[in-house]
Amino acid sequence: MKKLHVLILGVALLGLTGADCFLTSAQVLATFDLPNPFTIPATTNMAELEVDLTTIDEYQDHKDKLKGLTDLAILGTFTNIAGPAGTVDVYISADHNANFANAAAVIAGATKLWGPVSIGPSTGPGNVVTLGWDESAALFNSAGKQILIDEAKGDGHFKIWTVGTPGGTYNIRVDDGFIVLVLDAGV
Amino acid sequence: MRRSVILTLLALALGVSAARAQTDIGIGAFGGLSIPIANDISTQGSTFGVRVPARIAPWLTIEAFYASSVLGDAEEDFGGPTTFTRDGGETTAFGASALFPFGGSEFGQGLRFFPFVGLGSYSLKRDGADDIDDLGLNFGLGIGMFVMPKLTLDLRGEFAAIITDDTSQKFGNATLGATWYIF
Repeated sequence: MKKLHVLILGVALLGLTGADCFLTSAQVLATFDLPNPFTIPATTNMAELEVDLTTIDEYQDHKDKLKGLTDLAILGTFTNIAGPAGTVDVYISADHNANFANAAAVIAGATKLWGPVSIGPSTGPGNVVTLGWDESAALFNSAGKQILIDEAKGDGHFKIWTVGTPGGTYNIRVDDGFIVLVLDAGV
Repeated sequence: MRRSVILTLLALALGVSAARAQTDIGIGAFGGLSIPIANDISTQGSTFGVRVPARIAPWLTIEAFYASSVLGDAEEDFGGPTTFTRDGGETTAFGASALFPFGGSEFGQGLRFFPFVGLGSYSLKRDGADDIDDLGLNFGLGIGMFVMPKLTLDLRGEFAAIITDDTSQKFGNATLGATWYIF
């Protein structure tokens, strides 16, 4: 009987100490700060933001053993400064050198990552929106999310655009904006 | 697929044990703490469930289990003025564990220790995220004793991991359980 107990303990220890074992992993929170504040101006109805995940310490610490992303969110406070009720979406391109002239070009050329967030008219109720973490996590588009996951596992350098309702004319300010990533990584 | 394999193995184990003479079969309930390990978006929560142990040899008990955990939410302000809350998630699991008791003069008497190891079908649900349904494993150490004929109390420390490709979500569970042996 003692032999059996020792064997079980041995197998368990072997599994725990194995190189790159699935058990030696963690879900690590990492945050990329967006410019504070930034504005989606009426002139283009979109704001372009370059994201370099290598500027995040937690990402740098785990990049070599990164397996994927467990959870994602885009957080911030959206304020409609001028314009009717509408929505805000976020688009992504893996090419951090990509450029688009306006919102219509972004929608045609990039991939939807997140949204829509509904925002009230600038003069009415609901003109300031702060989404909850759970609500935000539910707004990801699967195709855009896959690009973000691939980028996180790649060079971590990509571009995103926040876009107002197509065809609308807005001035939306975003305060305290963050991209929240939960890294699934070896330790 | 994994769920059906586990159910089949479970049925075989219980069927074999039931067919043997002098098999003791019980039913029990447990509850306690579930603590996420190396996980920034869940905090300590609670766990509870049921167990159906079948003692098929003095040194081996096969135990079917169902467990449910509600994990605590994570709160972060990310350095800004607003505190955000992320749903910690809920897990459910069913499967079977093998217990290897030792100590005590015989079944029904004295304090018994039992290392255990098991497999199960685990599900993790979190608001706003895709469900995770995967195979999981557990192992740990328990200590139990009969407090009256046919009724045992046990205390267990368990490590459980939901295996997601080449990584995992891990939990430490501390539970107190009671089991009534009906056969």
